[in-house]
Amino acid sequence: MARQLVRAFEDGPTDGSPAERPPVIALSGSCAAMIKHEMPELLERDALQRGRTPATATRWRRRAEALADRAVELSEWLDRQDAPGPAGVEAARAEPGGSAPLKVASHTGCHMRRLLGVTEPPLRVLRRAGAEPTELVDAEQCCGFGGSFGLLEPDISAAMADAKLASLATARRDGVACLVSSDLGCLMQLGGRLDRRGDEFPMLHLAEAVDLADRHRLTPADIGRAARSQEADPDAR
Amino acid sequence: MPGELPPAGATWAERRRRALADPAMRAAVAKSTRNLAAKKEAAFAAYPAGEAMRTRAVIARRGSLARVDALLDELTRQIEARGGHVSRAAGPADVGRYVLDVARRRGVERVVKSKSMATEEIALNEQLEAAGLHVRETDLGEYIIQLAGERPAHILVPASHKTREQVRALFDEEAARCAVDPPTGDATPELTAFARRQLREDFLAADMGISGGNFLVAETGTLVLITNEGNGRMTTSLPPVHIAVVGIDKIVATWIDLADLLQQPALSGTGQRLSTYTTFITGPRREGELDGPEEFHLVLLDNGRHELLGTEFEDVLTCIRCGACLNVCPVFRTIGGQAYGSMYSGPIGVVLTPLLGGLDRAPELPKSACSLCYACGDACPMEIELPRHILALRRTEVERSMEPWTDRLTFELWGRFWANPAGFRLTGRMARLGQRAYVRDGRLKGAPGLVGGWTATRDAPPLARESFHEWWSRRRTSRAGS
Amino acid sequence: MVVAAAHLEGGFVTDHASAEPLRGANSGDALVAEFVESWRGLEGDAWIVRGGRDEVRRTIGEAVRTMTGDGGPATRRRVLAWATADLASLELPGLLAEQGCEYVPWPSGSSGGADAAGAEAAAPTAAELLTLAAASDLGITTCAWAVAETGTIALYATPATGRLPSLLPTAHLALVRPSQIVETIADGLRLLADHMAQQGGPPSAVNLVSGPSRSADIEGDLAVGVHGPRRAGVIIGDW
Repeated sequence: MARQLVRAFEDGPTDGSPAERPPVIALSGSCAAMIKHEMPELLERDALQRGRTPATATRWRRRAEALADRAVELSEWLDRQDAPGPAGVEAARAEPGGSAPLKVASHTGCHMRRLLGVTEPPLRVLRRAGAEPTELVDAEQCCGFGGSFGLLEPDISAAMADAKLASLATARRDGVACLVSSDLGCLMQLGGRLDRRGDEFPMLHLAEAVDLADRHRLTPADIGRAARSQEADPDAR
Repeated sequence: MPGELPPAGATWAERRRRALADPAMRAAVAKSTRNLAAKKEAAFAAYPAGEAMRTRAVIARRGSLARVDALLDELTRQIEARGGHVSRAAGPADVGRYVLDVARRRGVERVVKSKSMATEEIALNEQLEAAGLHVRETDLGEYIIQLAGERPAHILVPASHKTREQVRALFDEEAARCAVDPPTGDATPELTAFARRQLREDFLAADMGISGGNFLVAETGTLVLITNEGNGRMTTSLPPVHIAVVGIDKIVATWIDLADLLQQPALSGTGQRLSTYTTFITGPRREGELDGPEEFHLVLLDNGRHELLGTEFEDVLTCIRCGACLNVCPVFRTIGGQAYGSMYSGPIGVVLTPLLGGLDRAPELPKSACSLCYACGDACPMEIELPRHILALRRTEVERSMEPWTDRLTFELWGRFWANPAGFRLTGRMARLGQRAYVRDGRLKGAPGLVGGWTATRDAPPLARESFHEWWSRRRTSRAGS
Repeated sequence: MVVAAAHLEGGFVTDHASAEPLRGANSGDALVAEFVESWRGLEGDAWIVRGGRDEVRRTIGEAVRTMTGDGGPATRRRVLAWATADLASLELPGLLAEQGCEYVPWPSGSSGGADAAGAEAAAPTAAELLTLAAASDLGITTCAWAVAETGTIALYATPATGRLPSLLPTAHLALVRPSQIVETIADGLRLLADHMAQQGGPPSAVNLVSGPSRSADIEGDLAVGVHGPRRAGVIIGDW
């Protein structure tokens, strides 16, 4: 799968010299971490294990590194663009009752936190979107997704999700309108556990929150609608 | 030669079930780990010198491992020159044999022990008790779990899973058994006073004291003990014979190395700048001294350590047993230490148990006791690459085909199909069809095979009607056409 | 007996040149204050004496009363004290007799062991000392050096300076001269290295003590006085 990914982006639009290739934006912290930190070594080792020459293995490493250099996690990229722009914030604040920024809870996944070292950009992006983000109690504790761990150890994984949802419960009592995360795995984990427990609370990916803010729709009602819709209506844009 | 660890006791499924069904234990573990993790952070934040020493200590530890055999020889020479005895033990039986030889020669009946992970590793208490010796654990936490007949729940605070009511019940039972007054209440001072009284009698009546060791200084043949309670000092000063059982990985070359290391276990373990009692022992009592042991023995334990030298796992031998990794591990916080089925629990246990005892001893640990959150790697003061080692052990298990064939097949097919766009699209279409049987109220409630692990405890969103790629090409076509 | 460790390079003992200990930012009064703050932070008792011998003696009396009771009379308390040359000028036997305490000297060998009554008492055996120590209310010692940054005192085991007075009695009192206080553990270990260079090796035991005995094994709650002394005090002064 990793080899396919590397090839796919090598074949993508290019202006010629590698330095001018567009960035590859990853929509999940753990995906970005995988591409930037694990793939080069993985592909090199894998090539050797499949009996390829060391030269081939090194080539795979270089190709993976080229992709890794271009890869950037979404919130980091948005932060570099100073997105959303000031207009979005002002507009959001111009809404009736919109003078106070919207309180939201922010969750940063483990790989984003520890492998990418990206913790501030999502908070800055949310602030520019007109929200007031706060981290959860015990923010640095894993939500239990973990990749194969979540499949192999459903009970422990669920117990870890419950601990994170307990921290979220505290934030909900403080009046946060939703949980925002840049990691799809974490969102699936927490949302899925919440559903199974028969509870309801909006959880958004950062991209969804920014999209709403851009359309001056970062309000509790619109957040609820966005989170509840089983199928996003992409044609509405 | 690989080492030998005591068996896990129960299956992983049983240990896990027991742990998850024990809310009192889980609350106690969550409280103590949160507390200790916070103390470590605060201690380093207030003490830049501690951090400077730590980085030098990492170098000192790794440097010592690079010449461990020469250092062990020098250590031996130094100790023997001062009238002490040094013995090398390949495994558990060697230690037992040596200790029992000394015990027989000296007519030992009663033994007091201060905390030692190495002696738990080799089940020394069981070996001694089988030979008719009375063995008393004197570290307060170890005393509690000895009375309870349990294994330690945490490297540093072994009874941290017990509530005070449970401790009081244990002490009441012991008081009845010994026909002495029970604790007067379950407040900490009262429980402590009971333990102090009881254990003091054991100390004064002991024929032999057995300790572990935190470090060994080759330069002068010195054993370093880092404790807080005073039982380490008592165990090594009061009885006429002192035997220290210490892993060969604990050795450092010089006092300069030790100077940087000395405060690290306290800083990372409990947030103290130095443990209450830090003791340097060099041989038995000297001529003219009226206290201290008449005989000093050091048993150097290998039990699989030597085999790790020169491998990618070598840094595991620099562990200072501080417990910092346990205190940040979300899995440890959820299941507690006893679920690991090993005296080494938490992230270090996930790695050390299979490395010392063989992967077959604990195949579940690398893949089931870790969500790969990388917190342990960040927390380790010796910069041991725990996450990398956990991944390597997982890889080894796959290479040795140790996982169930159904899992292996699932991952293989998954990889094959998703390695190209056509396969990816095909599985998407198949899943969109197949999921209908499992979707209720707009949520995926079940799934076959490995994915059923997810839906056992969580819902999932069903696959969208259209994938992003399908939507994208539809839009481009319709735009192009309009 | 000099035991050479010739081929270990960079060793403290073998490469030791008698360099001045490194001094941190603090010295003198500031160092004393830092030490006291650290020691008290560990639940230890501390007294600073500015006057000379007489005031030190008076403070010892106060410490004995406070540490073995509620500050009232200390009658019939048993005090096990080192009896080294360093302590001779403090005349502990007389002082403790005034307090109504039973004074048990750690046999110092050279100083003869004369008690307040002037008659030489037979020196107790090791076994008797063990029993006496376990039944003592207070142990009194000096120390080799002390560390301000960590609130630590260092005790070397020698025939005249036994391990037990700082371990078995219910309380332990150490007399520290201001000049013995250094800033860091590394500074203290350099002093130990001095000692090792002179003596050809370390003492049979060195104990670094930082406050009274403690544990957090019961529900993570701090327990003081688990096995070692329940109270640990220092008097800082010159005599």
